[in-house]
Amino acid sequence: MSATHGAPWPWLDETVDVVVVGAGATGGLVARELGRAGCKVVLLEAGPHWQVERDFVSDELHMRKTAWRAKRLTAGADPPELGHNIAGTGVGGGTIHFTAVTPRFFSSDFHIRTADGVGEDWPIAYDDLVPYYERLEKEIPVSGPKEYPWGGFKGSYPYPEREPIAVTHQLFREGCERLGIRSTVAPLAILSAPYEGRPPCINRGFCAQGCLPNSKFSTLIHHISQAVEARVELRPGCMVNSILVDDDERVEGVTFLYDGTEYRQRAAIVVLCASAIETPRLLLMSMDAGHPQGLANRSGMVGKCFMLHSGHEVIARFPVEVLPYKGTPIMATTQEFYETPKDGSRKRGFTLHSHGSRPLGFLRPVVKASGAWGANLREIARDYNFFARITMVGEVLPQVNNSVTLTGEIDASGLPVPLITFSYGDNDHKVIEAGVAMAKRILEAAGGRVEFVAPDTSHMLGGCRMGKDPATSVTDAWGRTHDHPNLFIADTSLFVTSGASNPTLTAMALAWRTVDHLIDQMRSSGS
Amino acid sequence: MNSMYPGYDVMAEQAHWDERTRRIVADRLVKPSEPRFFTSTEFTCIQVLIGALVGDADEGRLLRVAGQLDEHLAKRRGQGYHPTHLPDEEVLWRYGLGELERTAVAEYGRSFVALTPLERDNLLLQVQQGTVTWATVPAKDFFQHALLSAVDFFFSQPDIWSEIGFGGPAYPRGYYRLESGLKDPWEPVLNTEQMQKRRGAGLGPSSMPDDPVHGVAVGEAGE
Repeated sequence: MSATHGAPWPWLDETVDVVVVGAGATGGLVARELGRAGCKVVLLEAGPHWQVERDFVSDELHMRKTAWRAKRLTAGADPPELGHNIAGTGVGGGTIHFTAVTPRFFSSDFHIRTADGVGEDWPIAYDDLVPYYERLEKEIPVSGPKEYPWGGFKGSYPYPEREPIAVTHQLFREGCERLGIRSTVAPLAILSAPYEGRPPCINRGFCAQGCLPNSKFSTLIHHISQAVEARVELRPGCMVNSILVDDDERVEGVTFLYDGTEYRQRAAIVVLCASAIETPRLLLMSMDAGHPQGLANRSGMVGKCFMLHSGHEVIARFPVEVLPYKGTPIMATTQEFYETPKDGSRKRGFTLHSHGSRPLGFLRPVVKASGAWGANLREIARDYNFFARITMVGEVLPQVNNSVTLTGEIDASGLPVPLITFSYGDNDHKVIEAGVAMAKRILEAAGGRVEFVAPDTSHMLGGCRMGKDPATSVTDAWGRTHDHPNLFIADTSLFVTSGASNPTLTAMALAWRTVDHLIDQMRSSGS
Repeated sequence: MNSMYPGYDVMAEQAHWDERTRRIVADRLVKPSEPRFFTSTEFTCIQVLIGALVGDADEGRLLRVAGQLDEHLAKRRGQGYHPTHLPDEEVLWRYGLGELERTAVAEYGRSFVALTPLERDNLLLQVQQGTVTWATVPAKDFFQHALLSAVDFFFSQPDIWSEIGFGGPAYPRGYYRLESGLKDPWEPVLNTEQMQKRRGAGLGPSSMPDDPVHGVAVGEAGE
């Protein structure tokens, strides 16, 4: 207990080396690396500290509790669905419910302005991330094919690819084969063989509800355990509500709310890993007289160029039982249509994944696509076992008007409710059109009849993009904010473009690169 | 039409589930206590509404589903986000049910729960299509929210899992025979006679009527 506060944290009255905000996919990794480097690290997490055996069950409805559930408002032509699909809470963040699909970004993702004349170039290149991709694939580890047909990485993955694949994925691969489209078993951070006491996957199917035998990598079971071993002080239930700045534009620490009371934690460095909504929201909430637009925001770019992936669902009926509940949800993929096609019909592209489903995961898109209800809906549900699904991950180009801003409303913690405004652009629609058309062709080639196409989105990205020019970006190429020399960002809000790969591996690689740089800087400055 | 998996009972496998999952699923079969969020009038209305939305007339089951929705709202377990033009989930339900009742009385001179199934479905179709004008909340949005909520709670009932042939929770046992044509011994067995009957009625796996694809009209003219 702290002598002055009566709070349960030994370092509360000290100035620690680093405060990390958010214990999700990147925050856990950043904290572990800093802890191992000998730094005194406090890791603040707004949500609870999940215990796998106590808190996870095999039920779709119950496990929605792992969603970020504080109030958020949405607007725009395509107001996104947030909640469980997209935003996690608690220690482990989104990795508790992610499908663990872990492809890399393509080399071209980092310079689409130069290559395709759209979006922006990143201030870094694919090669900058390769060492971190390699380390991550080895340590989390990724099970995947011996040869990977697309992008800069040709294989092989450290762990063998997952097998067998369930019927949904078999049908997907057969459809691709008949059309001459290359497909593979997806690279997955789900074990095909034992690793450090974790067993191989038992095909329970509830990856999005929290893995139970710990076959799926999550930050909770991997990086957090290691961070705590490295003496990182993890504080769940602590919602950071402001960043403190001194007269020299250096940050001094943060304030946070715990059980309704505000506390202060001083730190030499602050690293934000709070997500593409909460990181910009925190910077905006930290506004004061000297920073009326919020912190790190002289460019006005905090909260701007927020992106999602288009994630349309295409569902087809088959004449044979598919039994979509069995096995890992996503097990096969094609990235054949990832980049700009030669015919110039669109810029950039999409990934397609075969995607199994439990009952709610099937029926919600059916309802959104068809509006079916009553006897009609009940009959569709009775054919549940005969449907297979493809989900796309479509690139969405950055637009300044897609944004995270603050509203005048107050949430249950007394903090300003964020507004997420999102509309697809013309090219985004072209990508969706092409992705849906290709998903239909694949399902039909496999012998299915496409009956439902539902719009959806996934993956929060952007909002504090990195860049070379302080006038048009929030951080430099290392994630250091242009305005505050000891304030860093290391989460998906840094993304300059969305790519069309599931982003978790890239986000972690980027964060690891930032923390490596940070440690080098600290060592060279002798602190 | 009947299930293609008659006689299959997902709860027969509960001894193979972890205890916490077993308890959560088994609790869904328990009759609820008095509602805490809904008034008793609203609670009756909710049961009729959910029955209409998911095509069910089993009163005991609809009471359970309504009770679980009530608990969800009383404990504010929603996902927390919504478009700016809508109120919070709890307010949307309260206002929407009030509007539904007023519309029933205005159009038919009777309470929503006293409408015939045909009248009720006609009214709900107008709500879905937004052809009724409501002062407090948009009719279409209320309908969509009510429908998705009905889906969430109705299709989380283990007796409905049995009906649709969902294999159910699978920890710690897992699934092992995944390949095409294979099943683990505890999975639901397809009744081919029922499958033929469904086919005869234009339903089921082998029936592929030439109707259009539902959903977003991606790439069509006028989009």
